[in-house]
Amino acid sequence: MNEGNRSAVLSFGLLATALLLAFLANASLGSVPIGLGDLWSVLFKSDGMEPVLTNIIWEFRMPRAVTATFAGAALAVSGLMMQTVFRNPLADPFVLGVNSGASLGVALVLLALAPMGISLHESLGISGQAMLVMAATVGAGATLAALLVFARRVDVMSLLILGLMISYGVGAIVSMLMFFSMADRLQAFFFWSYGNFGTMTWSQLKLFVPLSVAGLIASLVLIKTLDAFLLGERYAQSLGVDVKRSRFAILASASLLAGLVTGYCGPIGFLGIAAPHFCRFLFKTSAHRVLVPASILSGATLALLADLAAKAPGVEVSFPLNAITALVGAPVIILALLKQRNLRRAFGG
Amino acid sequence: MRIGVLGILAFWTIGASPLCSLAERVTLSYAENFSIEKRDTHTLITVRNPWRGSGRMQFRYALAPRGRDVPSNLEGARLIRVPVTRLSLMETVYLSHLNALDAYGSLVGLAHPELASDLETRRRVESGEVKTIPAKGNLDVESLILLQSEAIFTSAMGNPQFDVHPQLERANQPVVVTAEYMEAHPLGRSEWLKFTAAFLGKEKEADALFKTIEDRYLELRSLARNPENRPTVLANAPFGGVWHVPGGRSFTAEAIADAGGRYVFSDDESNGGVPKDFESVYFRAAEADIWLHPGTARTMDELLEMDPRFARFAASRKGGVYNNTRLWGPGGRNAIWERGILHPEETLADLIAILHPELLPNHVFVYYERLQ
Repeated sequence: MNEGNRSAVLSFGLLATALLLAFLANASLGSVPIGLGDLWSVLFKSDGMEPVLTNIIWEFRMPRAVTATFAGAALAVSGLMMQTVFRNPLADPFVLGVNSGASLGVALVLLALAPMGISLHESLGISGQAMLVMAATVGAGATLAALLVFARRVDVMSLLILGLMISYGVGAIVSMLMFFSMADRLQAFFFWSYGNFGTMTWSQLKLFVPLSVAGLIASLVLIKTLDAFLLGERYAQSLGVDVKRSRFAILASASLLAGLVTGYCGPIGFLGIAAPHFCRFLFKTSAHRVLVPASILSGATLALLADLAAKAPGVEVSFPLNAITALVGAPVIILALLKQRNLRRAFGG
Repeated sequence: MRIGVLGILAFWTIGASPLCSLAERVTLSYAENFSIEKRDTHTLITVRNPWRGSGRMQFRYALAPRGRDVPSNLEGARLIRVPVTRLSLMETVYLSHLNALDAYGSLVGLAHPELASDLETRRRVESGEVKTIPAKGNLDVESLILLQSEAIFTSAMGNPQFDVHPQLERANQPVVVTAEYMEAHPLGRSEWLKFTAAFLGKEKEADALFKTIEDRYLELRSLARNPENRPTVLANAPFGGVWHVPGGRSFTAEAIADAGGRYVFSDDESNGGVPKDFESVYFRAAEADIWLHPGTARTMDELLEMDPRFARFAASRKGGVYNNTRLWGPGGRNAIWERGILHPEETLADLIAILHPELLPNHVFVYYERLQ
């Protein structure tokens, strides 16, 4: 037990160091090379630096790195909670259709309203980027609300299937919209669906960071409940857990986290599956008091690294983030599967 | 129209004389993507470079006067009888040619009429003289067949999902693939007027009009040839974190150079759009004097709402942001994509007035407006 504790502390130390390094690497590497020394002077000594460089760090690099940190943590914790509630190792933050709800919102704005000459921009005075964020968040929220209404009535398996069906249904509407759209509109939609941490600005972070912190705190509060769910809903009930209410609370906070990230950054796949599996593999435990904080750290680190790869340092182009997260995430899952052999054990089955 | 027929007949007789060489090439000064050769029995038009990466692919059209025998050697070209009296357009850009050549009478079908800024065309679409070709999502080939077009102009991107010419060829429709949008020089795009004119039998009018356009363009260009300073220029706006800047050999880069400006990405070698990171564009263009075409923004407020970081550009601070949205209409139509393509001299005058206001003191902007 003592030794296990020590190795856990060591692992946490490693994770925290990795996160710090990933953050620094993300902030200092990019299309424009900025040395760590320059980064230090811009961040901690305000004067004497070239204003262009200062602006690049403060207006581009920092918001991007902060976004990646919180988005990664949010997706990882959200994925962990979904996997526990559904007792399914492949559940991701989007099983309940958050993703497709968000893409429907964006598709409606980009593919349906704009070509019809209806510009929310002119009538409401909302800018393009803010409009996408709003559309995605409203879309995700609407799907979630629908799902959560069901969540109190049906069992967990039916809920999973309901989520899938809603995803298919909503996806069908989106592909219908895409079918009738012109090439340039489709391009705009594709850009959104690639996911991106780089479009965030400080003013958007003012809302994004507190909301994701709230979701993360909720997940920390729910640690005991999550552990009970690992043993199955019936067992949890026998432990005195109000199953329906707790399930609602877990799904609500997991969905808030996933919907928030999708709304602001677009659909970002794989992080929500990869990070929790990586933590189970690293700590060889299914206890949530370890897995939740570990997922926060590793999710943030993975997101920062994936974003760094997407930025392709040294080159003036960048790659779609979604492709990179899949490239980073898939090997992690494969590794975890091969090492652990029997994933079912991690879910108490 | 009659002059056109006579013109072709004249070439035909010259071509028939045994002393004359087999083909006479019509000289084009700027357009690189098409050629016109006068043969004994027909005019051969070759379209090259129809889309990015199309390699050596060519489309050839044999324009033969109506009523004559089918030319014996078509060299694989599609036979089109001229002058074309039933023309369908898949893009609105050619409407400026019909306007300039006063050839509205030959227009029977138009795809995406909501994008047309040409007033006479809009009137004709409303009155039903010009039919809408349903082309949203999938092209409705059947309604296009019903139009009985003698030529259908379309451009292609080399993408089977969006290109309509393979479908139209299968349906045995007289599809004509153009490559106007692939021209690198503004006058090259303008010179495609001669292409359309060859189909409509209006070559003489086209030659005369293009000459006046060219003269005015060159006059303006020499005006801005040796300015005292060359303001630096950046272009476009990012979408979804990616900033597609015009390549250093693109149409936009060419126009900026001709207007006496220094384009920040002029060292780039490509002729299309180049995807860049926002921060790398900022790094290169933070101090640029002029910012052109910032997306859809028409006021500084709209621009800064898109992304507050835009305020960091020197051009934003100094009031040097201009967009070509002055003639923007509902539905996203913009005359700069029709009349502006045919009349690069008007666009150039606008750009010179932006970059060197002292050279054109009383200039009234046609396409551009300054973001307030």
